[in-house]
Amino acid sequence: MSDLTMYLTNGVVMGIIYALSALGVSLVVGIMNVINFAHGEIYVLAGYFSALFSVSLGIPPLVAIPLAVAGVFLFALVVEWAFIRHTYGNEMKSLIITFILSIVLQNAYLLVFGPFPKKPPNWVHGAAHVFGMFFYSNQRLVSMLTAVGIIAGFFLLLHKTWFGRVMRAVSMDREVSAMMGINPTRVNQVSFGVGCALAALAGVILTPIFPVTPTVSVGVSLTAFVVVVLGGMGSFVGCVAGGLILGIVENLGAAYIASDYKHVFGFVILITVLLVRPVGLFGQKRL
Amino acid sequence: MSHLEVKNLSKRFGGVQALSEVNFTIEEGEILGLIGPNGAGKTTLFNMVAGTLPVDRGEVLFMGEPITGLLPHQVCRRGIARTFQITRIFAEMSVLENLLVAQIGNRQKRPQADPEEFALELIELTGLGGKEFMQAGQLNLIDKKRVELARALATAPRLILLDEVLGGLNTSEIPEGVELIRTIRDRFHITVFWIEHIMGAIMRLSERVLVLDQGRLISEGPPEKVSRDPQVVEAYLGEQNA
Amino acid sequence: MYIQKGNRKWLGWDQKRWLWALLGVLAYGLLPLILDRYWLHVSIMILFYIMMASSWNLLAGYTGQISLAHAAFAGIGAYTSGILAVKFAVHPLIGLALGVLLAALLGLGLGLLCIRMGGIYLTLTTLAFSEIIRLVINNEYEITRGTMGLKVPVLFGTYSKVTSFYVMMAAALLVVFAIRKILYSDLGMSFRAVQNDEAAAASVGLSVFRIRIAAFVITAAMAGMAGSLCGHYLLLITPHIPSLDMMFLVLAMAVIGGLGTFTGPILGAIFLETLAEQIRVWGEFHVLLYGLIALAVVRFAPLGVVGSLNERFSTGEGPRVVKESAS
Repeated sequence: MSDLTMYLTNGVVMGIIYALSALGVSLVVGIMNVINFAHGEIYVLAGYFSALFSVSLGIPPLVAIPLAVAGVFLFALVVEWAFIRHTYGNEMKSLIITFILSIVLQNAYLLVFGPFPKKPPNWVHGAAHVFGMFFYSNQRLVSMLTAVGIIAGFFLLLHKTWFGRVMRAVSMDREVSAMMGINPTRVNQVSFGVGCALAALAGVILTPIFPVTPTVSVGVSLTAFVVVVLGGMGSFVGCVAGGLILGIVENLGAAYIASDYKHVFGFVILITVLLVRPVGLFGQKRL
Repeated sequence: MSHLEVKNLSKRFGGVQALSEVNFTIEEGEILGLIGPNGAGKTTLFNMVAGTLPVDRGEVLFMGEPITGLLPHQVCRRGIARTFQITRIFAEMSVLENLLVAQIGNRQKRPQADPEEFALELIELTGLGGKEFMQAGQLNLIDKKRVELARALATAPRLILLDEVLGGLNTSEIPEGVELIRTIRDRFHITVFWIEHIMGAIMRLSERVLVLDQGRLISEGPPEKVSRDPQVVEAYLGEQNA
Repeated sequence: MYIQKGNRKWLGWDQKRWLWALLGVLAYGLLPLILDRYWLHVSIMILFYIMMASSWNLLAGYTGQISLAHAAFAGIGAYTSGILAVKFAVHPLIGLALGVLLAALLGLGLGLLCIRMGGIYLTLTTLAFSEIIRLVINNEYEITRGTMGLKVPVLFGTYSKVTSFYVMMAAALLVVFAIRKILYSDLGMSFRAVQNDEAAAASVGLSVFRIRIAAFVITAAMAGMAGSLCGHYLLLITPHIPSLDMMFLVLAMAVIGGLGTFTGPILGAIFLETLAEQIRVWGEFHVLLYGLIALAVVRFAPLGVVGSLNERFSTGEGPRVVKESAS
């Protein structure tokens, strides 16, 4: 029984973090209709930055983390300007260009950061006695809580601020929004930046637990895509729901069925969803 | 036996009843017009006949055979061709290729025909002479409409559904367009079922007219009779005041 | 039907073009006489990539279905014939045929899976499929030897690089010629029609379903064959074949050469693989370099090298990829 609870706990923790990661993808798809294949590489870049700043440069974590996210945000703006902007309206092109970008970044990381895992120091140490049943890493718990905080903050941003309203309007109807005077290019630029910032946040939160290497990014991207498809593209609630479901299914599946095939569960979910209910659990966009 | 029979055709989209109990027939060799205010369901009707939209209730028979629920390409092979309101030509292919590819699925209808000759004949007919090797996507709107029409003809249909094929033409080009439609029926013996907003054209050319309003067939008959029908006038006036 | 009056052409090329093509083939065929072992190996790998890039281009560049599962199909072909040979003593030639068959069947399956999807979703599904295949291959160590690699026998007879070269070349010629024939046939025109506008294609009597599936099956079979031949040439089959890295190489070659053109992927394969070898001298940077070139090409010359040249000189060499919409 305590085993099951532990798996579930881990599933929920991972699920929340998956959800955070997927938010970035969902935002970009919802607003720009671009699927960012380089999502994982953005996450990893943030991880590298946070490790670099806190370990090599000795900057205190509280400063290193925002700095890392800011760095990635700026990088994202450059990428949007250089490559993504050029592909609006052409799905095929944006797909190909972000795919190529992801490979370029992976290899660039190998060159610049080397093949060995990098991680920033843990924020907290030790483990908590959860539910009086098992011990669970404090860092994981703190990371999850931070993720929850960010997700909540993003929800507030979407629904309580002027900027959030603009984003939601554009995601619902680009053309009408443009007619209302909203500058689509500006919105795209910022949305891509915010989407990548969310990925970066997920990166800095998770890297203390899972160190980054140049190849980790593929798994991150794929996980985010599964969550977004499962939850529904462009749906906030969908991301959270999708993340939790994936996290729990993966962990239970790995524990009770086969741990080698942990990631296969995600793909099977992806394919099943696309076959049965392509818009996802909460999605509204049609294929 | 009538060419096309539509029986009790109905379609619902969420909360909106797009078509209700639409019943009519088209005789072979007729030119039948379909008019109605915007949103009346005209294109929806076309889509259901052509197989693009699934039918909720009702059935469609073509030359006595049921075609309800057939896929669009099957409907085409049976002998019904259609054009689209917003042209959907194969932009990256040449005009000639547009007409050649339309014959691939329909060879059984004209087994003796030389595909290129037939295509060139249609190109001449629709006034695209000299443009056969141009990329269809680079043509102007009128020529694109010509390609769309020629391509539909290339499928060797018995019945053709024209969706606002004269839309976008200026006043001097309309008579030519009308003549072309007449030629399609006279020369190729193709039954014509067409939607049009340009009242002068459709009333002049059609032998019979159907009027659709909010998914219902509200009038049917020769153009003179229909244009005097108070219900029809009401439907259009209502649209004006809306 | 495709012989235009006056300017006699066969499959889109006039006599002069065909003569050049023939000369090119003959010249390539003489390579074993002049190259050393290392460069002979490179020229064999080029033939493998020509098959992969050209067949992927047929699917992605002519029917618009951007599949990331192509390398996986090569892997399926390779591992099928490899495992059959090693575990069941099946002759590699038979194994090759079975590998092609299995790849075609799985291509059918994947095509069916994707038939209701377009764009992003289709690509994601092919990606998921590809990753599942790779994971299975990696994990079923007992059978596949995982990352250690599966040692397999030569395709037939005694091993010789020269024989391998000509076998690969024959296969590449077969694939490339088949593609040309398809492109200039009813099926090829149907591919392009479906890519341009599915609804319109259906309205003129084309079965979009059959056409899209056909593309998956045909190209998967080609990849399966290429993969199997590659495996029996290298005498070692590793998970590198069904990997995303391999997929990327193939994609880059097709895109840089010119997606939606006939010679584009061929030239892309030749150029990039040769370039890779030059760069290997300094280290494993060729993927990064490919990526940067590919990025630059997609950004500034999206039609690829051959595509852009076609555009400039409008020879009508062949059908091109769908241009970006006005936005």
